[in-house]
Amino acid sequence: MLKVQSISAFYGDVRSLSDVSIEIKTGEIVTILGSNGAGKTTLIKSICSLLPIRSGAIYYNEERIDTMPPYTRVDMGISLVPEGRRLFPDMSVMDNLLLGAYPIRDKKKVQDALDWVISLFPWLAQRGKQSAGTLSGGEQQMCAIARGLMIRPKLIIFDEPSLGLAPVIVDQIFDTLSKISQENNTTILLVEQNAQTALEISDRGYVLENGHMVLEGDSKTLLASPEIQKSYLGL
Amino acid sequence: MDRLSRIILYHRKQIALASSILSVAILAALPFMVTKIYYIHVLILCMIYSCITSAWNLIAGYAGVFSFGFQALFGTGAYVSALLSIHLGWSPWITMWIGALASMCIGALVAVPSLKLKQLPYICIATLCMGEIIRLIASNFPQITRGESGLSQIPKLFDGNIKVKSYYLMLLILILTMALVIKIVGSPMGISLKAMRDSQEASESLGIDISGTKIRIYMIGAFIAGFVGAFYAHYMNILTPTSVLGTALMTQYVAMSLIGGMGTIVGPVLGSFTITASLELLRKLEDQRLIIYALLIIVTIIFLRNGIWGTLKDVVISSAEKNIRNKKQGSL
Repeated sequence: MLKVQSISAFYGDVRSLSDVSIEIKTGEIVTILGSNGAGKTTLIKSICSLLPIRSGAIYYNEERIDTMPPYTRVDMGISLVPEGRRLFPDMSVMDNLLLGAYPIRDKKKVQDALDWVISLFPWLAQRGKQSAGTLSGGEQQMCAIARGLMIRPKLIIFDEPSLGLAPVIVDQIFDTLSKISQENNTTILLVEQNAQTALEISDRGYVLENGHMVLEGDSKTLLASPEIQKSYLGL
Repeated sequence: MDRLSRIILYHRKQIALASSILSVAILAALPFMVTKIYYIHVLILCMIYSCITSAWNLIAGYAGVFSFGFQALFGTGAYVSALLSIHLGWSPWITMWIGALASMCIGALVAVPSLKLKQLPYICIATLCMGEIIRLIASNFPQITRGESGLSQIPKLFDGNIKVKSYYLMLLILILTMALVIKIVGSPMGISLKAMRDSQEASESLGIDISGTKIRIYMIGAFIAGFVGAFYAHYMNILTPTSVLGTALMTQYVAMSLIGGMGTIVGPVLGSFTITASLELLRKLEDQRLIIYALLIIVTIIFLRNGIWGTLKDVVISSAEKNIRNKKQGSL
């Protein structure tokens, strides 16, 4: 479904990704692990065209997409739940959700999508009018996920959904992710530092270090591998 | 008291509709009540400024692109329409539309640097320079524009009772402008403008075409400014580069937006009426009135961060909410 072919990306003159390749098949949950500064977010930004790549190519359903502007991603069915949620704090929860469905002009489709995300997160219904900045951290993350789901994406990318949240909430969020993947056959690309939880729900994983891809494999294999256990699980 | 609070909180649309009908009715009735023709002239100026300020507020207040070259769009409309009607003898009723379209094209041009420049100061400088370039063009081609000595004897729109007829035409322009602004702010485009203002990256990742939206909103704003500029040209019958393209005009619409309330629909209109009217009424004080003007801006910036309208709205809504909350707690 998504194929990233040996891409390199730079911030100014600083190389932040070198020769990174990943491949995601339809229906999979794939995790990208890495510590701070490993290039995880850069990879996401490159996939979404928010940062131009210097070399390599990105294909989505056989179509080359790295040269297309960022807003076209949504029309293709690629949705991004950015790091740190990036809700619009002064807008109401409902406006945030509706913004997620911005490219959809068919009102009925928008309403269907709204009903669907509310069935996933029922509490959103009562909080519609509240401004998004007054939600708790966990609620904001769920609201951001709901916003990302409004276009009924084929591929949804989560950038550190567990960042700064209590373990209970993290579990809830990951449960929702696997639910979304199972019920709708949505492909999920997950970027995480929380290796244990992320690998438990995903099919495969990649490990980034200093902009290089150092490991890849089945989630189970990765969980059992000594490098992962040492660097990410503290075992 | 809590009945009133309930009405304020749950019937905002109806209140807005009722008060806009009321204000239009008052404005329509004013020429019958005001006897001095000078006051009608002041009211026309108020409405002209309301339109420019509202158009600028769409771009700066809603989309967050601070353009300090907006006076150039007003001036372009004015000059294009005036020159066509003088040199080619076309009817001002036609040239006004051409002026507005010319201004729209310039607007799209001015929008281009603001697409690449994401940081505020650069956008300000770039747009200010664009505005000055257009002013310099107008003042340095005396063969066509008669330079700083200005154009005079621009064809009029009406015969006979010019002031009152112009007043009603301007009122119609203002109503249409406000209807357009309200329509845009309520549409998906309005939400995307606010999203862009709050976070460009997040809105881009939600599928908003930032560049396209910016150019579109610039063109809409420029069209309004250009049309009103053309009206101004045929209403005043004289134009100089300083009066319609100068930075003094820029400080006016910025101050009016700030004082009225940026990023609101009513704010710019309120600011335009307050400032234009008070400046004219204080005309006796001559240049000392500018001191009052400056004081007004300073006071607003310090005490009323969201402008008169923004602050008023916050106070009324939050006190109404408080009222209802207290009532609920009392009944528990």
